[in-house]
Amino acid sequence: MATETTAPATSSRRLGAKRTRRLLIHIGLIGFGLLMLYPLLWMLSSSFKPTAEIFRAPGLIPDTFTPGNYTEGWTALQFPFHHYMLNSAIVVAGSIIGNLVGCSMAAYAFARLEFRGKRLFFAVMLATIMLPIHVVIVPQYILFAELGWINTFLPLIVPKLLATDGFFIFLMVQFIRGLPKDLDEAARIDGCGHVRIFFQIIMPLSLPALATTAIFTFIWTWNDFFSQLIFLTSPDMYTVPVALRTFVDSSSQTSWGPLFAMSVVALGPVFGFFLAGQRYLVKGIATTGIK
Amino acid sequence: MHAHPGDGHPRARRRSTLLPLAATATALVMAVTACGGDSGAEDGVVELRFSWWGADDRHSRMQQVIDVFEAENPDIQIVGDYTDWGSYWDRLATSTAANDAPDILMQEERYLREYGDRGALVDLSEFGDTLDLSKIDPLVAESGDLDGQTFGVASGVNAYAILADPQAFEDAGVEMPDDETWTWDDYVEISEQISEAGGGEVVGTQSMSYNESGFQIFARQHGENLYAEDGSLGFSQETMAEWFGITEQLLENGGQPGAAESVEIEGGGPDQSVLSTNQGAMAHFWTNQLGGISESSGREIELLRYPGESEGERTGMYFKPAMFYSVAASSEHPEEAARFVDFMLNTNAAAELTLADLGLPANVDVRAHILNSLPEADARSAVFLSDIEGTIVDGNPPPPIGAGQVVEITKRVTDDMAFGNLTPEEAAEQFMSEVEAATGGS
Repeated sequence: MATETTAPATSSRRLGAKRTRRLLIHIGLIGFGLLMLYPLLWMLSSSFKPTAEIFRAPGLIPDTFTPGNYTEGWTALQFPFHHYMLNSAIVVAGSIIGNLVGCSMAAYAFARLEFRGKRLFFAVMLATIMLPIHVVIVPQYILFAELGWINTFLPLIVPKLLATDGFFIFLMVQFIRGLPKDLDEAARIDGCGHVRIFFQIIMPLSLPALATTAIFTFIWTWNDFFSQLIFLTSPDMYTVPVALRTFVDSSSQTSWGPLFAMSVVALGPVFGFFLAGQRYLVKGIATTGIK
Repeated sequence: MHAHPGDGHPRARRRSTLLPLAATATALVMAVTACGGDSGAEDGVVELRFSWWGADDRHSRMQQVIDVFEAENPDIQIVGDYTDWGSYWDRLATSTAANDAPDILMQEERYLREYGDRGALVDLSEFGDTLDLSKIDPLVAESGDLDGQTFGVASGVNAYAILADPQAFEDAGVEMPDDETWTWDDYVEISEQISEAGGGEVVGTQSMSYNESGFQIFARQHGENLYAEDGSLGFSQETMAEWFGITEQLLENGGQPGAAESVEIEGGGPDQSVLSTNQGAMAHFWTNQLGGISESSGREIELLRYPGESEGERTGMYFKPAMFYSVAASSEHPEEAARFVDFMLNTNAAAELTLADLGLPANVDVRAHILNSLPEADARSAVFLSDIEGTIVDGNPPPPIGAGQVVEITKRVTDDMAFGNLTPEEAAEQFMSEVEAATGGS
């Protein structure tokens, strides 16, 4: 803008070239964005079509527009759909609290304390991230069956309190390592123990990392299917992903319309939570060295 | 930072920060436990878990059956536990490994031996007083027997057949074949004619080699079978090469969609078959899928016998046990579980609710009872099944352990052949060696 006063002719030409380039970039980006959005838009549009029409007329604009899938889908299963939403909410809330409490404490220990075998345990913790769930699911199932926890939310929540989500420990360790040690030392001189340093120094400063953990836990737990399928056996305990699966069956007819309608509903909370927490999410990732 | 060293104050404050946290956690744990299922048997009522797969329509039917059963048997309470086909086997494998399988469960041909041989299922013939097996259709009566033990009882019967859209035949100006006499050559020729008339919009038939059930019919027509009694392969390489050769001819003459398109169609299941989308005249499906496909196509789809039934040395079509009822060996109340299986199998009340959803009922009396109340498409399936019943020679032996993997092998080999990487002979060879490896290669 400042150049405009000195050389209006050249600058306006340059401005024009710049405009065209930006226009092209924007067209490209918007086009690519729409391409990425297409499956989502397709689901949204299909949720308003009668089931029989979905695959016969797979275009984006419905021939017949009907909101009936939403009312039908809400009550199609044994329990109304909000029952499953509530179950999911309990599991998600428990997991978030568990991860925030468990992982932050474990991360503090790895980042600030000195103890024997620290490097080894850190490596073991990292290794657990790499174990696929199928490897651990049977031993876990046996353990929880012995405890009588099958078909309760406990196997999905209690382990989180014990800091079993290695990824979040790692994320927070990286973050806490970035905080100046001088603060801890100053607090120590003032007479703080570890507990106080943890709660009054580290935790308030780690807000972005905690927010990132909460958001990711929300999204991953809300969308998690396999462990919820295995541990929750009776329909009144089903969460949203497991309930959605009961619409589908490859060997018989699937009620696609209601399924898509309820999938749109299930997307709502994730979308909302992401929108609300997006600011922290970016901050948290940008400052933890995981880029 | 207004804390001072050594005045005892910080400790008190520390506790006050921790306490609410601990309290929240405890409250949460308690809340969560309170919601949990209670499996204890109080006041003499036995609680049983019953597990099945399916889509939402089946779930609500089953729940109604359970309600009727509970009203008649106040000493038993059934908790339904259901999900879709794929997840069902994941969950069953996990819970069986942990000795925590549901008391009553649905089984399928391809998995029955796997669970039966490992001692995970109860021999149902032991419950002769509770569970009456005398009325079961003789063509599937022994389909759940392994080494003299009954690990599963067939819920109903289906047959693998060709579904044809008369409208598509008419549009193409091609006569519907006489399904009692048509040959495999007729099948290839008719498909080509329809594709030519369809001008790229409508094809003659959907690829048939993605499902080994069709090959089983073909092998039986040649006096062979997919598996022998002992679970080894029951067919010759020539027969299978001939089978894949038919698909190759159809790919060449355009009677079926090209390789890439076939993969896509196959991935979509019955809802995206060429019949459902009105883009083809024929497809291979189970008779119980007629209703759904008719509905999604919006047309009156008809059932045809497999080609070559009068061409080979014998007929190849068979009744397949649609599903099995099994009782888990880990169940604490097998006697009560057998009572429920008896109810599902032998009462009109149960069949009036499930109708043909679990196959056309295996109990012949019950089948006759519901015949008139079936929906239109299912009624036509029933007529078709009784028409072919007289031509069926025998049942099939239970598939070997690992037969569940054959589905994937069939798809992979078919793809390789359709894309031109394998000749029909090579495809047959690869199929045989892969299936032998998967099923323990006896």
